[in-house]
Amino acid sequence: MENKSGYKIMIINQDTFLLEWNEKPSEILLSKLLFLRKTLEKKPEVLLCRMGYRSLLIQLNKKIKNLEYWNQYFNKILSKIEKHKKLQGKKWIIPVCYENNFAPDIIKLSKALKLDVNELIHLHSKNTYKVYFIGFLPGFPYLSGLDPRLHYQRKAKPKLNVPKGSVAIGGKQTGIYTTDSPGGWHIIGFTPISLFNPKTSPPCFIKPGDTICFQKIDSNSLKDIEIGLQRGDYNFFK
Amino acid sequence: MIEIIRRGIYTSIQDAGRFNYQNIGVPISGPMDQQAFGIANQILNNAYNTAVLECSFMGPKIKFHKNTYISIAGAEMNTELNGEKIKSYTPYKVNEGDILSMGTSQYGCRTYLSISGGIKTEKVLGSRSQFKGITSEGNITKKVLIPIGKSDFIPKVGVSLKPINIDYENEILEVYPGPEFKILDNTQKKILLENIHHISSLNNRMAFRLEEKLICKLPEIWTSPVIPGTIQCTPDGSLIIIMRDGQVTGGYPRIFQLNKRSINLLSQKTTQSPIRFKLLSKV
Repeated sequence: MENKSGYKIMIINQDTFLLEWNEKPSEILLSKLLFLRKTLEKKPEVLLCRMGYRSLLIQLNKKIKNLEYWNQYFNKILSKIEKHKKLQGKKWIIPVCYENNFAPDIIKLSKALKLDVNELIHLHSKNTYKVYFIGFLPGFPYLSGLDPRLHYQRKAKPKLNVPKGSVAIGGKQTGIYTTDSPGGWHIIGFTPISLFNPKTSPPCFIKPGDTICFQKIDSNSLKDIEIGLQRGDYNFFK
Repeated sequence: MIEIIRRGIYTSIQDAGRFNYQNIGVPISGPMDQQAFGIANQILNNAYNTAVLECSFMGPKIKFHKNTYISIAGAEMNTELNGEKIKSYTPYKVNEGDILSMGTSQYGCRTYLSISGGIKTEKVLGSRSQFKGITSEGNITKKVLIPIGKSDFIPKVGVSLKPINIDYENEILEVYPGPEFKILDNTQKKILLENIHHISSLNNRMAFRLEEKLICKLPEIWTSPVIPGTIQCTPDGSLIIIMRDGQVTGGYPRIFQLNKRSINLLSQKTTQSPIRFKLLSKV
């Protein structure tokens, strides 16, 4: 079902819908998704809203009876969105050590991209990245904003264990492994910041709509930051 | 307490699941076969969300350090209590010092061992379900003592339970069309719906991959949410079915969605099991 708000609504199973927009992901679309999600999360029948680059999965705590009712309701919410309001996310500075010991794939990747290693580091750490949603692994932020000169296909054979804290490039994306996991991205650095901790509330401080910058650090500062994090006096929120 | 003497092939603690955290990338977890899980708890009048042991392929050997009641449901594993065979779907009294020994699965793959009062390990993000990176262990990895609750079960004397027959050999999995079903051509749809497929050796709590590949050149999609039972098709034509511990978003076309009954049925199947898809037009 297509409609005037530009999305298609699809039923996934008895209690779950998917709304999908037929346009390229953008900050405008992101703010629409966030606005819709925020409103829906206040509705008692809505159990959970989950985001993708241009989609929203909505799970109800009951069966979907009347699709048209929900479709009209979503349209009504979207018509109330304030078009020119800028996204108001937080800004996080994530320190990354790009030294070889912490970046097993950086030399190979720089050769494949025909870039000097320092140029690669500069291109990666100069941009700001927008958080679109969290997925793949607990706390793993999907980021947009990677310089096209750093786009490179994923490894043909994924590595069985990529350590937590690895900063990597895969396809058109860059990301931070938030737990140890298998993975096919090229590892170009390491951050001591833990993006996900199931024992803290909330377990994941980065939210869709926030912005991330990578700050180049050397292995000495890495140690200092690790000590600071243990003491609890390191601040990476800008 | 119960003591795990031998852990079995893959045994994990599962309650109904870790709801409400999928938006921060945390899988829902919970029992692979929700039906068998539900029955195991129901037999003991345990609440639906009571934590049990999910035992796969070969079950554990357990020593009880407390008097309680137990029940088993799901796959048949030739379970013995102090050397005597016990039946599924039946409450049994166990005493301190008793030994429960579960064998290999004969029919189905996953068996649920429920204990009156339930397993009482620490909850993480609202659930006791084990998942690597959330709970301290992803499954039962060694000989451990596991805390259990107080039994309040009173068996009904003279009441016989209806025999429960679940056909785990049924090959038919019911599917709804997935969001990207329409990008398949008629030949591809015909192959998917008319051929018999087989489960490959890559099957676990996260996902099941099928043996047969679909000849196709499907594009990747903008990463979007997936749920247990979503069937994705990779660029090389592999079909991957997301299961309970599966990731919450995916970048491959979602061609089918299993209904709830079929996710339970699939959970009782393993490497080489034949399956067929039946398309349901209406949810």
